[in-house]
Amino acid sequence: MTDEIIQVRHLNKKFGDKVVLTDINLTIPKNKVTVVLGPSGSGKSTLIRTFNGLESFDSGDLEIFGQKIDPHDKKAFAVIKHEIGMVFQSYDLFPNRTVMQNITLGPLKVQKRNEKEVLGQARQLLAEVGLEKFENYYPRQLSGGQKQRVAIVRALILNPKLMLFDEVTASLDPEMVRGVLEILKQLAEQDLTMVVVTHEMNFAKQVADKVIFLDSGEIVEEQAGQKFFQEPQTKRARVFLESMSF
Amino acid sequence: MSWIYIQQAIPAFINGFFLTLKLATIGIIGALLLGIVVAFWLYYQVIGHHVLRLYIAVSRNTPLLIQLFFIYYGLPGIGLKIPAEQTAILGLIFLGGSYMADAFLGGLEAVPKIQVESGQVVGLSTWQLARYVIFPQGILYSLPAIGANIIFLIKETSIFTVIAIPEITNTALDLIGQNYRSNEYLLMMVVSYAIILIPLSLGLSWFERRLRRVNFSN
Amino acid sequence: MKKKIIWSLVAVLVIIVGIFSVHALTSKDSSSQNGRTIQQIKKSGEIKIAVFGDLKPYGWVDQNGNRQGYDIALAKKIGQDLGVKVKYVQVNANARVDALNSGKADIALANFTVTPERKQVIDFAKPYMKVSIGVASKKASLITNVNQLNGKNLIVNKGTTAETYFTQTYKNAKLLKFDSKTQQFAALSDGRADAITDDNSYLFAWVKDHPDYQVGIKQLGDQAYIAPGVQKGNKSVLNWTNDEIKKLNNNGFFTGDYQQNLAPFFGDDVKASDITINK
Repeated sequence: MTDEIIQVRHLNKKFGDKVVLTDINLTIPKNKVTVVLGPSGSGKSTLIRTFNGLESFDSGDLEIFGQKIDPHDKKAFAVIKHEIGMVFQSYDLFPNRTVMQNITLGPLKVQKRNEKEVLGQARQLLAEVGLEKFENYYPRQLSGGQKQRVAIVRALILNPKLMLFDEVTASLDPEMVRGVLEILKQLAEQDLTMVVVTHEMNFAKQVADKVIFLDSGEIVEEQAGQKFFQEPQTKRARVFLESMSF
Repeated sequence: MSWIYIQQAIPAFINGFFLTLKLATIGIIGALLLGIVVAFWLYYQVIGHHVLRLYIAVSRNTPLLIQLFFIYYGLPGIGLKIPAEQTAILGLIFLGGSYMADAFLGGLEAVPKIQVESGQVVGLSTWQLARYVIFPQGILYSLPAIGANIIFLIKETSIFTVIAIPEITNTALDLIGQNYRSNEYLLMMVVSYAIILIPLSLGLSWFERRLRRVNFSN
Repeated sequence: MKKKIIWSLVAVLVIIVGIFSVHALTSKDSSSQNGRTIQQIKKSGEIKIAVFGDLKPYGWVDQNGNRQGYDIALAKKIGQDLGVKVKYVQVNANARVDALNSGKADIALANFTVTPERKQVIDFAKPYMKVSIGVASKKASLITNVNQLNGKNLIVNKGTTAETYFTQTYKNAKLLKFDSKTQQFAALSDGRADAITDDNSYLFAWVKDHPDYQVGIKQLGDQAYIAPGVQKGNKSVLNWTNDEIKKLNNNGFFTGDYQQNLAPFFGDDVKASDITINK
């Protein structure tokens, strides 16, 4: 087993005539935090959505956990899907289920785990994100930040080998952002393999072991975290960092 | 207005009332089940969904009267003789199935894509996704249309008179034909339908409000 | 919540009953002249006559879309003698009374049997034909006595004298009640019942085309008469029609009508004198 959890080679993707990803080559290192940066519409979300099969691709190779993925074989993903957790930008809890029911759906129905053990782990994770008192609430009774924390717990309880975060703070009110980022930082310290798409540059700088900088569907820089922020190698990256003015 | 005629007709109307209720209930349950199957079939674009589109077009664009005539007077020509009550139920399911399918499909399609994706990333199978995520949310969007369809189908039972089923309308027309007391019997007919439809429509809207309050969010 | 439901129910029922009561009260008190008079009909140049559209050989529409039949010939004669055009109003058996009383038709020539119930709600002119109820069934399992119908499925047409007989006099058959002649004969052909009952003259005509069947009971109950119906209290049309029918009975019009319109459809079971009224 290599230290790369994902390897991508010459990956291309179009939506109709529009090219969204061009000749992508990258690796995602195990037990590290990889931050994907880039302007809006540069293909960041689409890229990480190919990692768990939410998007297919037209050509190229994608290898996850050392296993080659056929982009059109949905069944191939079904086997590894619950090993890849994901949290989205918009609130995505199931509105008809309580916090606890949201969290336990996957472990009980997909992983067929013991209910007692699942409830125990769920309560422990809820406590870690400060929501131990909310297990019987419905999503509509929670604030945006609380919902995102539940969504994180819902992904973590599957004990994923990889977590994808797609701009998880972008829809939150400013005062909610900090709490959610704190949780991500704690996760980063626990050696979880994470791929994070974000616009929070201070946060990115603090957690990034590796940065992938994307512009117009191309990888412009693939770089160690600190190096990218201190000495970006390309002009486009410098312009981007300056425009974020943090 | 003569109360004697009304009194004498009460037993006949009670029979007609329960027959209407029985046929409508079975027909509507059948239509709901058929509607759910057809809606999911179309939602997932399973093989054969073009045929289902055709079924919906035929069912929605022909009158129940013609559908009943076809089953009752037409099918015996190819050796298929279905008794009147079964014909009525079959007709109601055939007609209602397409209306219910459209109602359910509208609801399923109204479930946000992000909900489906959230289910997928938790690892749910297609069946689990339908059962735990898409259906329970879609049904809420479908409820108003389903309620309207239920009432519509109950009213359509008045057409069963053409295949000699003694439901409420048939009872009224028959008694008018025998005793020529239109006012009395039409009044009894209207009251019989009102007893079914008014509590039902109040109940449906109450149920809808309750479900919405409990379940809608985000 | 519950209170609200109950009150809305009560309110709706009160409104419905109210509407019907008002309607019943206002529609009763008119005793002098109901409907159009003969003068008004002549002036309008058109008489509205209620007829069957699916009852061969009395009132039906042929392949070319023309109305044909025994009643239609009478309708044409009436139009001719009045000097007006005939406008046909097609009815089913149980719509005949309402067609008259709502003014949709001035006269009903729709094989209308005179009964006490009907006399209460419309007026009949002098009869032009006599009939009685018969029962037809498959030759293979022929029903020749009414008691054989005990518990059997029997097809009737709503609003006919046959229906009255089997609801009031002999109640042991299970009745399948249809709205139209077409439907009732179709249901019989499909084998949905053991027998059919109706005026014997239609049954004779129908079994002639359907040799598997036979009129096993030719006469049931009393002899009945067919007469033109008019709106209750329309003395003007009633008197004119009485005179017309008397004239036509005397001059042999109906024997000719029989030969032309009925004889080709009836078998040898029937003669003109069985049907027409000659004085």
